[in-house]
Amino acid sequence: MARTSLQIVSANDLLDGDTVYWGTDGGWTRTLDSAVVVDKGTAADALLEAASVDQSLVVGPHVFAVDMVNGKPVPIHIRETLRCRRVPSVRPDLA
Amino acid sequence: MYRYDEFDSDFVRDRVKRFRRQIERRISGALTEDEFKPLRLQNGLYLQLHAYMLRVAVPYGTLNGRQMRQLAMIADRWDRGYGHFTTRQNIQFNWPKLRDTADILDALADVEMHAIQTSGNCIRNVTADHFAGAAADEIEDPRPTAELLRQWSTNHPEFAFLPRKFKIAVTGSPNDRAVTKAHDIGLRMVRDGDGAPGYEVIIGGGLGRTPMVGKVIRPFLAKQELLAYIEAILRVYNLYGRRDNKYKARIKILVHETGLDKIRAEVEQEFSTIVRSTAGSALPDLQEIARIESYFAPPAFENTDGDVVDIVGAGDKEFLAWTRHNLAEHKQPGYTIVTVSLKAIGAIPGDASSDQMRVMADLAERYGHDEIRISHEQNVVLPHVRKRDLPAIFAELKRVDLATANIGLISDIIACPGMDYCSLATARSIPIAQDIARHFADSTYAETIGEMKIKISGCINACGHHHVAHIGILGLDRKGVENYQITLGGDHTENFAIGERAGPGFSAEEVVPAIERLIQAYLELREGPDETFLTAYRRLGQEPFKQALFPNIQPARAA
Ligand code: SF4
Repeated sequence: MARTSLQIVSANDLLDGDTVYWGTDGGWTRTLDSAVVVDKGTAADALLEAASVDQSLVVGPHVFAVDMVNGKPVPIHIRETLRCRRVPSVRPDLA
Repeated sequence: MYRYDEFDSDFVRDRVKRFRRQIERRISGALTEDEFKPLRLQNGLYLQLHAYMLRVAVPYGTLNGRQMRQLAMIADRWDRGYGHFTTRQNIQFNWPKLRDTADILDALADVEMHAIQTSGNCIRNVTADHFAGAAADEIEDPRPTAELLRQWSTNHPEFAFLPRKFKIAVTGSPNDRAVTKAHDIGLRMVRDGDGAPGYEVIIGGGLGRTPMVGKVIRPFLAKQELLAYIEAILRVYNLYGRRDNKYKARIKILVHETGLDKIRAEVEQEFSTIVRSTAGSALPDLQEIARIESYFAPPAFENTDGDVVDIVGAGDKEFLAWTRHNLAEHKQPGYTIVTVSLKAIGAIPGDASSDQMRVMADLAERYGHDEIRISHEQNVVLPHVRKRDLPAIFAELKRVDLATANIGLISDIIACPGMDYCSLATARSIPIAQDIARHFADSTYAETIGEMKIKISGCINACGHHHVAHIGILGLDRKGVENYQITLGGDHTENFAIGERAGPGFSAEEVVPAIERLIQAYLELREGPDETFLTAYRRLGQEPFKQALFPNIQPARAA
């Protein structure tokens, strides 16, 4: 696993459970590329806190680690890689 | 099959109504997730990696055509056209929307189904032999027992908050197809010296993080003593089971740490107290048992006979292969038990599309006395089929890719949803199962290998029963990358055994070659085609198989 100090905040949408990210416009987005990327530590803690204030739209806000590849965030852990695909790896037809 | 009475029906409807209001309050913000989560779990609604998941109870794995058709309707209307049958004989819908779940539960209630007690620290859906009421080797149908336990445990106030979840399995046959030794309580129908049926009671079995073999706490329990005795076990567990540590809270740990003899003494004492204090009223009266049993009376079988081969001649090789592998002996001459494989090569084990569900419903109604069973091995069973209807059934199944002739063979793999769906997973299970099935797709090769049970879990919780597989595969997380550990020699039957870990894990790509090496070693080492992998393993021990798995093992890499 590559070492990284970058993180983004994610959760599941309350109504359909879909993966969402805390976006640059200060709300939840379904586009990974629009997620706010911050440094691990104080900045990530603060972002998670901000995103967790109102949990009426989402479930389970948490941070996960990303790398920046060609200016875009890419999850490092397999779990988040799979979550970001929005459908099971064995059912690409559902995308 | 059992029909709900008015009480059951009102109770289920009332629960749906209440849950509908709770959903509205969560959406409006009146309930926080912390407040809502236990409520949704009590109604079978989980949140997974990509979406919600609704786990629907299929009590003791028994369904009729109408219920199966309703599941298909739900899959089409509120989900994405399919469902997943689990090792707990339940069905899971993977894509329900929060707002729709009350409607789904109402639609289930229309066909006397629900999602109650599919989650939480209560007595879960009671499981049973999937050949119940049909198997030639059966002492008695285990389903009336399972139904009695279902009624007794539903909403039982004393046991709604146990230290941990509690699972009961019942088998009516000496051939244990219900994995009774891996349950909190396992019941095996036996006869006493006078030939009267009763139960051998097993407790403290389980898989998961700490696999344990169930132990016989009572070699014989009379039928009418069942509820009082189970209640005594639950009371002792409720009192002494650990609540301080989730991983030590199951009854298996209590039995292990306290010792079987001490637990037995406590249970027997509690049992006599219950019987004495209630003057026997805690026992179900025999009339009530007889009432429940009457719902499970065998269907009106006709006097028929005829061998499958007689009917079709020797012509169709594919059909004959299917009859070799997918049928089991029925107690009624001329009848057979059909296992419909949900393991077409490359398919997702346990998944069925709505079309497939409808075909199975039709076949059950047309040819199978309207009975369907879900097996813990994630297949569907038509328990009462006339042999002469087999060609028609086969043709219909084939049309929807349900006629794979592989029951008990290497591609009949159990796989839990793993990291493709499950939020607790440490690795994926399904793609590993698909890769193995594809690799061994050649039916001649699979038949040469013979009986083989591969079971895959995507984490230590072991929903895929990997501990009791001939070849078990456990998916783990090694620094963010999937890694698969292999266990050997497990057995879920009456010769129950927990598999032994064979060494360090493999990457996803290394799993199929590793299995192939194991199979090659087995084929070379076996005494003949009649010696199964498991028998050969028991005769030879782990060493030769370990060598096959790790031919170039360096001392530093050894486990
Ligand atoms: S074994 Fe683990 S990954 Fe598989 S379904 Fe159970 S909890 Fe999920």
